[in-house]
Amino acid sequence: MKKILLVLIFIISLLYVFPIIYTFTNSFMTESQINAENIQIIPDEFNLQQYYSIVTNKAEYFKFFMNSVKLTVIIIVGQIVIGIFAAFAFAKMEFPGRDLIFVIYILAVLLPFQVTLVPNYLVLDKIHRVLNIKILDTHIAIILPGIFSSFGVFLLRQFVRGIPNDIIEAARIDGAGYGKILFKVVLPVIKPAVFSLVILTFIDNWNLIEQAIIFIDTPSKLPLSVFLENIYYGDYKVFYAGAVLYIVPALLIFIKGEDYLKEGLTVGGMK
Amino acid sequence: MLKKIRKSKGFLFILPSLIGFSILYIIPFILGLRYSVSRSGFDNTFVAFKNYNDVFKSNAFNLALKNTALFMGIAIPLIIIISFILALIIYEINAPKFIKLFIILPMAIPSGTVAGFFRKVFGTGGFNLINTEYAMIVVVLIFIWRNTGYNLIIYLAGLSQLRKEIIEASMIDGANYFQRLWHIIIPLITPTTVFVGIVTIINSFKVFKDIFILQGNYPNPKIYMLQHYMNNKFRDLQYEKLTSAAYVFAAVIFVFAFLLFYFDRKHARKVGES
Repeated sequence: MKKILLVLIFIISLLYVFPIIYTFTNSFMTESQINAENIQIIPDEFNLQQYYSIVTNKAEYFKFFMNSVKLTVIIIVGQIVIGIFAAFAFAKMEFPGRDLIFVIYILAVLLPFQVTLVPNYLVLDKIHRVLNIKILDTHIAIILPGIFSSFGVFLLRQFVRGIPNDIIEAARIDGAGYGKILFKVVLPVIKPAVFSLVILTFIDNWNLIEQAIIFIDTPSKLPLSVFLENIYYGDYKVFYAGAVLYIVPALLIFIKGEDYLKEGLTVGGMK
Repeated sequence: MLKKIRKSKGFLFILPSLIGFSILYIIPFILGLRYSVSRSGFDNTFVAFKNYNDVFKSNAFNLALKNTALFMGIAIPLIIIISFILALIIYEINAPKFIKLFIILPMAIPSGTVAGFFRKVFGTGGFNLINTEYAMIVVVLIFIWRNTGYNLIIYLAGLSQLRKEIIEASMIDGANYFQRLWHIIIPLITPTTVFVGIVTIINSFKVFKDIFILQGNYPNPKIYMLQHYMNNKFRDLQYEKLTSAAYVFAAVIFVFAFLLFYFDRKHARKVGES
């Protein structure tokens, strides 16, 4: 029985990686094989020409790639820096309206991006008109909502809550201020939470689509997650090679951080 | 006095987050209410519920609502069942680590990169479904493919926390595996299932990414979702329609979430935990 189940789950797990393997192997195929009627998985010949052409002719590919890197990195760093302070306050400090504000943060996690779309757009437009800072059609329009998304605060707060109050009280008695407690006591303990937030935020923003198609009008500012489409309609071969290059960083980060995912995903269940 | 300082300090810590969050989320959400009862985005005349009424009468909205409800109604229970069964098998036979890795990998794969594969398999090269009336099947499959991993991780963590004594006691009592599953494991895992449900609802909105990449702003009408409707109303500058639809959407989500939390509380009381 155990063997049958093992074979079964092995086959199922292959179905899950199949689209990824397919994308990898197609990236080495010749154009005629990619365009074949049926689904081909093993390349007839090992062809690196499309990778070569990305590096040589498609300097623009890397421009879009770097757009994605820039957006993702800034959003991750910003969300963590801002989130850590807020999470600590929500979990371990008292201030008026704390619980109510936190409930609003949780509700915001549940909403899809489109719900606050128009008002969001209008607020950014207003900032442009009043302060004369152009935000729409720049990366800032994507970065700001990303940094201030309440998900990071929610996730980190659940972890900080798990730290016993005694530890924090002890540090206070020793004369440490809240800032010192946050950096010397809390931060080392919640490192795994920070890593899991990095991975989850990375996954979300490496596949950034909704914000870009609304806030960005200039094609050259799009992240690669959206622009890959145009490569597909331009040249299949190059598309698969470009897709693989875009998958690789995600795979590396994911495989390295797999263990932290569990912490990040299960913490929401804690009361 | 000291306490007061401590209190205001807490406020200081959340201030950066709260300012940004308010400007970008809370204020827009409240301001949107005004749009939803105005004649248009450019004319503030109060029209009460006219926009809501118009939205509910519009074919596009009803199509989008129907498709979204159909998608959620099928995909959410299905993925919960599938991920629970997979987690159970992996847990019980102690499957090698790479199997779990294979199943969770898709969550890290950007929609645009696998669009080539899905176009081929569900379009020209394999089962030509994406342009037919059965396109929803494709969307459900892609959703399950991408999101099983999240639920699997949560279920595996939940299963590993089950108390072994209870399960062993039932074995001594002579319960077979399926009795044990039905009467002990499933009830004990319910809080995890509720949490999986919430995560799944949040993830279900992200299926828009995959549909948009495959078919753009105006997809096959069978997979035209609320997010398409809202994006397109935005593009048409019909802000009043968009905000009305957004509040209907938000209300449905909150009701869903509330029911799940309520169910969770009730269940916790029943099994004597809190």
